[in-house]
Amino acid sequence: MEEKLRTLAQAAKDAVQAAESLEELDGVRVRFLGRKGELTQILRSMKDLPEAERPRLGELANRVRDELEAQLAERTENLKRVLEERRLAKERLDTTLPGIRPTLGHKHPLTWVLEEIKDIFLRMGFDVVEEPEVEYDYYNFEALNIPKDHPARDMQDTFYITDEILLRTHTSPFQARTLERMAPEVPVRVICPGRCYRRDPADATHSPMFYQTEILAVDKNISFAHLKWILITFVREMFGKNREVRFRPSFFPFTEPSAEVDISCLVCGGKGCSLCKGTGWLEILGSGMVHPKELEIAGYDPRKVSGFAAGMGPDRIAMLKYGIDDIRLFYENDLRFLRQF
Amino acid sequence: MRVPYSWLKSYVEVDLQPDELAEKLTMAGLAVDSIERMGADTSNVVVGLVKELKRHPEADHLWVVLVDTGEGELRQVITGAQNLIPGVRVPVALPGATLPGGEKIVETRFRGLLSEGMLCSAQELGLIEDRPEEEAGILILEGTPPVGADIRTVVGLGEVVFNLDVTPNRPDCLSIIGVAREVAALTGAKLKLPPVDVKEYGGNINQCLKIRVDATDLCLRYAARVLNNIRVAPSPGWLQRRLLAAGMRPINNIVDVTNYVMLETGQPLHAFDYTRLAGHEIIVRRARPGENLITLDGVERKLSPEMLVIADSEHPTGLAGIMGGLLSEITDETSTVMLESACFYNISIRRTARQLGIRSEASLRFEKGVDPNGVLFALERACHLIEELGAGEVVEGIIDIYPNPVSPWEVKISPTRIRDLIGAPVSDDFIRSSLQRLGLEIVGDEEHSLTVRVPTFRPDLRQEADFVEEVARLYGFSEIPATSMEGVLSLGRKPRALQIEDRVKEILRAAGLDEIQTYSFVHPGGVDKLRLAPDDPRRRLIRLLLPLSEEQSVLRTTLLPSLLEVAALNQRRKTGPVNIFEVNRVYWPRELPLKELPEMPRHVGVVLAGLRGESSWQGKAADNDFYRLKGILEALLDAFQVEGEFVATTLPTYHPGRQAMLSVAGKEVATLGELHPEVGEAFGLSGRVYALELNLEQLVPQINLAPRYRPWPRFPGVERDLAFLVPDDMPAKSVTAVLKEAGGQVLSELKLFDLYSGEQIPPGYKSLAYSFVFRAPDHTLTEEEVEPVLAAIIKAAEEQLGARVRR
Repeated sequence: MEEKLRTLAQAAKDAVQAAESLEELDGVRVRFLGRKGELTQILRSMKDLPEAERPRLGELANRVRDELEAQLAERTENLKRVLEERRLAKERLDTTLPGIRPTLGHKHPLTWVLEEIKDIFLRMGFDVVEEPEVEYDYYNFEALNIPKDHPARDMQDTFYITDEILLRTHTSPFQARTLERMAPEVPVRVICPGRCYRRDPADATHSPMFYQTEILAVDKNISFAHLKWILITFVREMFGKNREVRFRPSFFPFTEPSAEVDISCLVCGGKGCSLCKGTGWLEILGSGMVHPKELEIAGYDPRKVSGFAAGMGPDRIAMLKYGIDDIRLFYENDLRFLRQF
Repeated sequence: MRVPYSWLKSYVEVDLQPDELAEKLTMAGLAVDSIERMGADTSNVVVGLVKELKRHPEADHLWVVLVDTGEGELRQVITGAQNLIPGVRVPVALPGATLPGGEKIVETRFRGLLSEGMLCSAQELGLIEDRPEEEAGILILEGTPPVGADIRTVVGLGEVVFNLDVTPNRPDCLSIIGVAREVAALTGAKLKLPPVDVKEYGGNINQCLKIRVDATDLCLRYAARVLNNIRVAPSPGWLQRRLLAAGMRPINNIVDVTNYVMLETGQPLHAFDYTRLAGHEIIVRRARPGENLITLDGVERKLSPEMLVIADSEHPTGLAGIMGGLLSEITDETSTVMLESACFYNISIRRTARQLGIRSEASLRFEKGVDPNGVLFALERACHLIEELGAGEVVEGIIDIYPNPVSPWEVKISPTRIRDLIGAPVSDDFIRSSLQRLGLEIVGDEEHSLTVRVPTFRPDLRQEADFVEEVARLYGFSEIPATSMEGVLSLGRKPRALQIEDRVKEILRAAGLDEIQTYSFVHPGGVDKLRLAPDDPRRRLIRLLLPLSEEQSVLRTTLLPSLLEVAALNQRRKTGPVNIFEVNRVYWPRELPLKELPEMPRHVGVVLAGLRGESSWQGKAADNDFYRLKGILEALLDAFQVEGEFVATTLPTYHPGRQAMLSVAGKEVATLGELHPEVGEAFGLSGRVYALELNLEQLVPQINLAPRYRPWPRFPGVERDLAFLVPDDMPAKSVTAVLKEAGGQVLSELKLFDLYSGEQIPPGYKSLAYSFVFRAPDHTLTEEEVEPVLAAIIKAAEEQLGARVRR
């Protein structure tokens, strides 16, 4: 009996090793451990053995069964691994074929720039406001210290709808509207983005419609030094930490003093190139201290509060930022252009 | 404004390098756009003496010129210019010479004859702007410059010219003296004004000239002198060179002096041929209806009564402040001159100049405003120069009509407030000295205030704020520190409508649509192309008074035409699949013509044409269809947790059987559909095109931007699929309504997973296959519980819809 068990154990072990597939291996399991399996039958016949031999042989038979089960498990594991390796070895993709890209929609370049500008000023505590594009002559000019026939209207050829209503030529009417709404509350910190219109026929650098973004801050003790800080902070956030910024006296009818803000050229960094016309500087913002008359018209006391305002052209900023040489591309909407952003 | 450096230096001692001065001026607000070095790239051009002149044997219009260039042998040069005579001195570009713009001169044959160089015009030397309409004669050099001399030393090439961008508030800087005054203030150098002493040669102006100003509202001041024994001749070289460098063309000594003094002082002058003034009288008046005037440029101008003219006793003889008349022009025969120096009302000049389409150096200065108190200085300066040139003799006396003299004004300013507004430690002393350097007089100096007297040439200095700027720019904007803002912390907020707009754009991009931006003004024909009904409110268009073109003449009432045009453009250019959207405003008048601002609701427009996206090597992308369009809208509603209902419509813009509108909370917020083929054709589109337009403003109040978490069911559901055979024209919505009703509480999900008609389906029918999920909130449903509900659903479908269940 003992001999029989040992032979069986050896045969089973050999059979396990010889099995080359999971099916064969299962055959081995059935042959020895199945309901009518050779080992099962031996185990079943244990009860016929003499009482004295039963414990020893029983233990042996159980051990043989445990070992066999372990061998089967191990062999199964091995076989699975081998078979998987074989399958993987056969499966090959040409990974140089192009991927299947999801169709992503594209953000218009002007939207990119507008959102970035808004975001920077939002972080600095400015509220975003929107004001009407179709505007009263009063808010577009009169309330901004630009009376009829003021020389500054020279610069602005306006789309009128009636004598009193026009397409705003700048976002600046928002200054008058905001101040009128807020007076005499301080602080005022607002940013107004939007579309503006001027009677300029479209060419590479002009568009009869364009965007502007303007900021306004009014509070006690606001000085030109604060204006500088806010705009330098903005410019370095928008165009990079190392951007040089310069403030240059200029003229706008609704600010006094007024300053143009130039940044060191984005292409040459200040050495002079065709983009900056050799000056090393790019004009990027118009700004200044809010004219006391404007504060007064809105109901503030210019002896108690002061403020600054600044305006910029997202179209121009986008052109500089992305290296676009024709403003008409923004409004033509050739998808080969839009899909680059 | 062109400012030749050497000219500027005559009034202020400054020896900065041009770059340094430009930097100083720019940083003080007088922006130098460019620095021009005249003829910097010119070489090998010398003075030549014309010895002999004969016609080219082969060509009538060409001349063969023998010219002495100081090389021993004469050079043969061929020219087409017709203004040469032997004995004149001219610029000769030798072979190997370079002209402005980089042109190289080489020996060339003209009809068989060799030209050993080229004779140059003023244009070719870059002395004056190239004007192709003018016949370019060879530049005849003044005096007797040495033969063979480098032309640059002779004609003022090498001059440095600053191109200034003068802001509208500084009309005083439209003159060399004005700029010199600014340079003096910036550098501390002294300003030297030119001499204006005039020798009077007897006579009496009042006996030979009468002047009357009728339009006193348009003419603030009118002054004149009369000069006898006029000898009209070319101006001397120095004068011509300065005019050329400043961008003006020399004409004759009298006219040149008026232009010279205008450039020098900013005060435009005009010289009339006295003998041509009928009645020897000047009347400054408005033009009379029907009057005409031939201006100096030979153009006959129709005058209208709001235009100011300088008339003699009979006719207008000049357009005040803009251009003289041809009849009283200075000619070689002129013997007596009336010299006018006046101050006209800027707005009248601007209107007239614009109306007639004339822009002259004079009108430009009057438009910006000239100083009425500078009138006499300029008049005397011109007379001084004419006498200095020996070109005329001044009659005794001046006529000066100046009924309401303008006086300097005083402004009280607070140094403390100036300091506070600048935000830099500017000392009181600095403020005082800045004002003085600018030519302002401090007439009151008290403890907390200064009183400043402002001369009339600085009309921009009216109140304290103006002085803040003067002090700040002299202090230097770059010297002012950048100081961080102080005070109450404020929170930057974005209005809800904008937050929603941003979110909408984000969702549409995620859906694979590209954002476009189109003009707010459009062609009025767009509403016709959309086939809108005659009474459609979108036909009520706001028209611009003076549009640039018909294409941009009305404000849009719908986004669709713009989107469709962009779609058509991209189809024509074959740029790939067109799946686009725009979020912008439309303009709806409350009444026409506008009395108040229109409604300007924010709209969302979507256009899908052709394929849904890029195809790949795995297969072609699917075609767009109505359901993708609708799905995009549904995704938007889902994202904002808005419930909406789609209702079939019969709008003329869309395919009659493939359109709907979306209603939310009882309001129509969007229309959508496949474009009517006629609309597609009108816009030049090919294939089926799908479009939707959503009024975002209507949707905003319904939108929930802060979703609330809803837990999902805890117990598993029981799934069943059923297909129903229903008539073809039965809307899916009716079927689901019945199924939902019959399913009751335990029917937790119902989803259409297949629509089928064709084989095995009788004609006129379709099969709708739904998956049902049944679920109870508190336990797992058993088969026994589900079966009766399913039976009820089937029964309802059969009885209420006449549907047959397909098993």
